[in-house]
Amino acid sequence: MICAIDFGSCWIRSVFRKPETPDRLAMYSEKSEYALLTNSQDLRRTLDDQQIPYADCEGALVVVGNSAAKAHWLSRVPCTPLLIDGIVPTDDPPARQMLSVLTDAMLPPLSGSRNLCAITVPGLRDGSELAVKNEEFLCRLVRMRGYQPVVVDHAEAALLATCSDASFTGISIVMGAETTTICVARYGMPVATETVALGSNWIDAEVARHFRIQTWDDEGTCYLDLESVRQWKHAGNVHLRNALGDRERMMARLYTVALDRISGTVAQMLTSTPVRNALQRQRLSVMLSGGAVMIEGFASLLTERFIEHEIAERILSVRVSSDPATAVIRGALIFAELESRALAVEEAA
Amino acid sequence: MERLRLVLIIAACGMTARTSLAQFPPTSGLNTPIAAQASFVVIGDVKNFNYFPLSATQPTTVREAVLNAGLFAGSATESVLRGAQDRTLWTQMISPDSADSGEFVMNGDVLIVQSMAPISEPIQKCAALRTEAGVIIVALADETVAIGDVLQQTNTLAASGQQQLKIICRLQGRPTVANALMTDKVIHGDVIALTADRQNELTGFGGMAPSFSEWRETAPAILAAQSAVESVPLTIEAPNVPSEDTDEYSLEIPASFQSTPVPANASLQSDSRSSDPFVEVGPSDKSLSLEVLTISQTSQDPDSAASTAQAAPLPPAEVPLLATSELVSAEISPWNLVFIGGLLIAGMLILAGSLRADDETSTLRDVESAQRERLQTSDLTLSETGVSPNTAITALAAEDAIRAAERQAAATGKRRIVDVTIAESTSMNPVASTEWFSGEWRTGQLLSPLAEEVSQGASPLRCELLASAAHASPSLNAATIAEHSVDMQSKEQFPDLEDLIQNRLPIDLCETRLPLRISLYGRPAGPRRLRIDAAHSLLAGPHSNIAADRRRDDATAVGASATASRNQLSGSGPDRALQSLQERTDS
Repeated sequence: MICAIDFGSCWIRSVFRKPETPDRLAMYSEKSEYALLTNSQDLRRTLDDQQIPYADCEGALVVVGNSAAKAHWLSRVPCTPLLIDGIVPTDDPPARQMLSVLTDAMLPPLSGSRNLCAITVPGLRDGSELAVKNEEFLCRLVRMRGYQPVVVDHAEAALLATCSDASFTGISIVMGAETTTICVARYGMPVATETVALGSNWIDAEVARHFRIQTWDDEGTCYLDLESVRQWKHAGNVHLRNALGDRERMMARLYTVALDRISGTVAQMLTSTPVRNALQRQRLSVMLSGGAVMIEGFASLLTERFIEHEIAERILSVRVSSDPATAVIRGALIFAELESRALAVEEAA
Repeated sequence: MERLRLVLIIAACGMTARTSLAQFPPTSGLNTPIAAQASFVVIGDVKNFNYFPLSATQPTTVREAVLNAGLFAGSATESVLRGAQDRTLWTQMISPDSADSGEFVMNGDVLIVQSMAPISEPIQKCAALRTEAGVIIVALADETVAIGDVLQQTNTLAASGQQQLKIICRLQGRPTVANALMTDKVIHGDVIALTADRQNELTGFGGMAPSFSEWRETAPAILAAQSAVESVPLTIEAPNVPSEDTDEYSLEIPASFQSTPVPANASLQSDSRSSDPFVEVGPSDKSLSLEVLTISQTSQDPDSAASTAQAAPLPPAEVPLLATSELVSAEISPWNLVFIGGLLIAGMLILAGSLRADDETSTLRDVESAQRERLQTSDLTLSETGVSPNTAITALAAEDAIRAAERQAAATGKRRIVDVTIAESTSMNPVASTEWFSGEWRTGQLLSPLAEEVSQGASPLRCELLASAAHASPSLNAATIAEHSVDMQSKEQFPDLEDLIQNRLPIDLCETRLPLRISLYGRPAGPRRLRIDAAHSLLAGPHSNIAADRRRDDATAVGASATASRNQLSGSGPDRALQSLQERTDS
């Protein structure tokens, strides 16, 4: 069985082909968050009656994944992300166990002689001890399920999924919830990869902080209401180029700041020696993926930033992929299938 | 000379491109009045196929949307068409008992529902037509409705001549149609797409500013579908259809069609010529009726959406095509003449360039043949030329063999990655390899480093990608001297890998089976609390970190925690640890 799992800060997705229907993809998609409920008999009975899966913790009940939205009305505490800042939390043991439960439920059963799973790891991959432990923890979860994990970069996976018409040559940018990954590739081989610790969560948090979009629990503790910001943003009325109202203008300014930094990183990558040697002055297509690029006007704003950084002459086109939310997981599956074949050839040799 | 030719071609294309912009009619009527409220469409095996408004405050999940439309049987599968995509984003099993996956419906979505159980009730068949302007729901009252009839009814027949016609989604078990014909039958649940060729729009053309496109960029157009649909004069015949054609049909109201089901609260709307809701089919006595649902721009309630039901004359298949050509011819304007003139100039320039290239190629072949004869007949020795005659002849013979093999491989469809050294080795190369643009205009040199990697023993994974790259760019199969065949067993091993790369495989969204009740160790941390620092009344002294640390104790939490005294916060051990942890997390 060959599969792929994308540990995202907002969603955890897995995809694979069922042996009986190889011409279709099966996908599991769960929100990577949990709802915290008071440990009371009434709530426990309600969850039992509604057939909502939950877990007993010390002093609380938690509901994980998509079910958290169903049980959220039972509590005024906003949902807690399973991966805080794209990192497996070290001070939240139940969150780590919930990641294990979700991984176990989302990966298909083993079949065949080669069981390979491509995984994407959230957060920075800068070689620091924290990043190494983060990656090792998630790989161990996959390994415990019986799969051989293969780590793939977000942008590289998205490149495989979306840049076939450009001969897998170009710039792939994946803007997620916590990080933005950039990959310059030539014929499918990454020439330069960079990760920027900037994502849509930072923008949402700044908007919520600026406009005091807050929520309070029963004890009066205050939290930023990021969920309402996300819902407002994804309602489809926000356009970065035609911002109306203070909140939209603030959102556009924050996106401009983020894209300015991304464009600066792209400019540095294009002037780096490996890229200059591999691509010389070839004009490159830019493919955008990730949940944060789905807002209207994103490509136009990024184009403006490219012009500002004087790298527009190196850009052939700026496109948003047809499936920005699922491009990474689909590319990871492509990577896993290609890797599986490469391993077969190596074994035969 | 080559550069001059390129400049001329670019200038001609630029001129034609500028004029081509003038070809389009002003679209302000479609784009400017973006509907204030977003909507989506549900069709298929549902009781109420219609437009549904999206609430800005309360998002609707896919399951809720399908259940609101009304299922006929217990369970159904639904497919989601989103934005301008030409394939379903995912399919999902839905029943009143199924769990909600939490996927929200987005603006412009088309949900296609297919019942999994046999339907005993009479069902109103329907389909959808997606154009650049939006989505139009078509109710089918007959099995013999063709795509041309739908286009004729929706007044999109004129635009269809310049756009691509596809059936992008059908109920399961029926294949989609990439290049649909006007005579293709429209079946219940079909989604017909009338789109422009996106590939031409995505690539820039020589400008400094890159072109861009955007996913969901057509969403405003879809938003404007309501107004666009409303503005469609639902006439039975196009205004420019010759009268002799239309006169062949006489009006008749079949009694059986009087009770054609119309969605709830839908009102009839027709123009003066089609005041009678149904018209006789024509000489073949073949009848059909189409209902094109429209939604009122002023009212966003789907229940109050105005709909139009009228019969369509079923003309022969040639009639819509004839009408289309006449419509196009009637729109010729001076701008069209300028556009056509520019195209002709560009075509002539390209033709002249290709003829000149052929002359050069034939000259090169003459030189090669003369060289071959000279090598065969001369007495040149290795000391004089540095190349053995036999070696040179062998190389030329190898070149011929390679070309023949390439032609044979091309005939059998075998993909290969090739290396290019002919142009580099010949003395007629007009551009030196050291020039920066030497690798851009000649496709061969684009490939040479690629082939180097293959010859240097790249990994199989790499080879597969290179093969895909070569397959994606036909220009890479240029003249060759050395070939590197790529093992194509991968295509046999993964028959759908190409489909996976091209995003053609449908996605089934499955429900995760989590254990109903488990026990976890530890205390959950919970969400991050909001901390607001109190205003600094006193500035910390210089070089006094201790004072600065003490002043951090002024941080207070909003709400009940704010009532805790400063002494309590700084005094108790667990609170201090929590504060320290919070600061570390914040930092």
